[in-house]
Amino acid sequence: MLSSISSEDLWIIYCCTCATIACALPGVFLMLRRMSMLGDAVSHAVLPGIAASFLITGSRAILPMLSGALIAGIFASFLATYLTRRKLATPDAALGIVFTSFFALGVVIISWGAKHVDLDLGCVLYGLAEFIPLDTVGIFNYNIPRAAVILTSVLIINTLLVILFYKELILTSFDPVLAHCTGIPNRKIQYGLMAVTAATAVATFESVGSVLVVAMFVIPPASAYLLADRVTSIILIAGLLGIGCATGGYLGALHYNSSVAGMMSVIAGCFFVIAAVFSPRHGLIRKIIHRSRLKVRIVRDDLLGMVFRWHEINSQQPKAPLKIRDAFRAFGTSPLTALALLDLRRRGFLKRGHEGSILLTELGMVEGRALIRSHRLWETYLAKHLGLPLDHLHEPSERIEHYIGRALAREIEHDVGITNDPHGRDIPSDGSHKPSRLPE
Amino acid sequence: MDLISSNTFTVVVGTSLLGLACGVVGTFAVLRKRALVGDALAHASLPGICIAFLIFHQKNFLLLILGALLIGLLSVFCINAIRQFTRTKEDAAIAIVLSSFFGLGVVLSRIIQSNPIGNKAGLDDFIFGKAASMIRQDLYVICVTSLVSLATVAALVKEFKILCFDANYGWSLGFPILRLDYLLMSLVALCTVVGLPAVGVVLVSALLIFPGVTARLWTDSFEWTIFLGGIIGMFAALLGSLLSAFPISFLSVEPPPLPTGPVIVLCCAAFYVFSSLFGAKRGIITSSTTKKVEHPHA
Repeated sequence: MLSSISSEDLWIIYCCTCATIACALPGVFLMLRRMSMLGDAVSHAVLPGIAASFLITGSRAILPMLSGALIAGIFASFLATYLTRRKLATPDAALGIVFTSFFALGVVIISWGAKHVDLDLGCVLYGLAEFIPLDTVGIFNYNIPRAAVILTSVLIINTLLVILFYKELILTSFDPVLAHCTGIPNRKIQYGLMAVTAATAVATFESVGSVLVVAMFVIPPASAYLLADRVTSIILIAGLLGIGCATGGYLGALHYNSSVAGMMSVIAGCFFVIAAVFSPRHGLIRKIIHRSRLKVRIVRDDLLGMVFRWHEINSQQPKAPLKIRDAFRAFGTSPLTALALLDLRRRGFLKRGHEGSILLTELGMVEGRALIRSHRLWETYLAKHLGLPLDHLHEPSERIEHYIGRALAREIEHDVGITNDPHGRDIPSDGSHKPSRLPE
Repeated sequence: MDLISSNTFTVVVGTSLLGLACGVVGTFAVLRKRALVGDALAHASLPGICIAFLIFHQKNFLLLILGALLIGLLSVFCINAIRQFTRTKEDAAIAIVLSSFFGLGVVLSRIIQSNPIGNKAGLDDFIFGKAASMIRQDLYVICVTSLVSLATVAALVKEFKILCFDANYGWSLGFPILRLDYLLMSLVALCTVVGLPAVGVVLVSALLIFPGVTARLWTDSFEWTIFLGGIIGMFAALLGSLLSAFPISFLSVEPPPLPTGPVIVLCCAAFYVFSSLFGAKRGIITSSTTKKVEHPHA
């Protein structure tokens, strides 16, 4: 299939790429300001402008149509902001009522002038990406699709605007109060962003349809946001994803003989799902691994404490040896316990005694002592300062013992000033061997 | 008389009942600050309709609606999951789900159109709505839906109230907040998909959002907001369907037949504009003494 790509196909892919990147540029800042639905609203709200300019001029000339759309789009986004500011509606509801009424008005105007207007609503929604190469203009003896000229200029203008106003956009998006204090006009920047959004939506939806405009304003920036933390990287990644959407979407549409705009939105959605699952920094898989590591660490510490306590009692009066079976009985027969045991072995804290019993190594004794020291110090601290009864001390200490470091333990020791915990057991001393490795 | 049996009667009664149910259920969604979820749901139901059509190869209203309902609920679930498990904010989550599901719907509907077994007529009506083609069977579906929605709301008004205003407090009192949330969203989904054939994908969210927002301009009481929301939704739908069925000739020009859905939405908008000027609580003219709070981010 790849071998059969013609220059027409390449023009379509080029135009869709320009459109997606041009949308992603303001889209990144819309996302950071939690205004993502503005793209959706504007691309629906342009309809009455288009219909009215059709009805007035009676022609399908591009300039009046685009200006009508632009006026309607900008007016709609300002109206939504006004309704929110006057507390006539919540922000999301304001967007919802403005764009639906504009769209309804557009449909009514079109059916009113149905005799004179030959406007297909479907084109507005789905665009005509497939027919881009048919409508060309001659530049320097070359026949270049009109859409390519328009979309390239939109892309260049948006890039220049982002570069020019980068500092202001960043500051007003992340810290509007600081921006206000340093004299950057928040409201003007916001209105500017809204106007650029409307203009981009208008210029792009003519060739790629409003479905795609909505998708491209939001999905590449949101996916990039899961993959990177710096705004420059987010913009670059969003651009790359845009290229991927355009190419993949067009080839997919060719393969299934379906809509280019729809397929591009679907591909973009797939990109988002992939980013959400596999992102190295914010992905689901990483979160799951991180969480299970923490779980293993806690079971590992608790196991260490259990064996240390066994040693402590055993040194005073001999006790039945601790078996691996006992560990599983205490912490549940789960892979978690097995992993924790393996981890203790790997770190050299645990060794195997005779008949399958488990014993602490020299290193393990140091670690266990530090842990039990934290536990008992915290019990003492709770008893002294909160006056909790004896049977209420173990639970909270069991939770906090993993997080008390060496320095904090010493401070608590100074504070409580005794060497026995409230149950009467010894609080192990600081042990001058090695610094504690807990917490990691 | 053949008034009762006439097609106009079916359309007017059907849309009014729809307006009532959407008004009541939508008011809850607006108060829960989920106004745009209805929009996402409506867009997401398009692939559901297409899938149901691809599986059953027939345009049975009930089957298509069932498909729309299932995929619509899936979209709500996706929005919640994205919000909960990634660092994407709610607005972006709604927009992502809306556009990718709708994109899938467009892809599928184009495939159906180019498929010889597919009869494309009818599927497009779901996108733009065609209330005039409402038949008696549709009216029964709308009746049942409205009854179910209103009965559920009436039975659970206290639970929904706490869900809308202080979900965390409700959770601490032991209310099953998550299940209530999904129940509310299911009601929104039900009203949305039943409204699709009448007003279309783009405009059905207006029926959900407008009544609640308009009612809030008149009262601060929760119960009154719900009640007014239902009334406003019903009258806007009634007026809109009447205007579109019996167009008023204007300057002796015979007006063309107007599509019902958009006219209903414009009636809603007219109610809203009137209320935003004269509303007892927040109207611009009637309550101009309210202090305006300036905020740098506004």
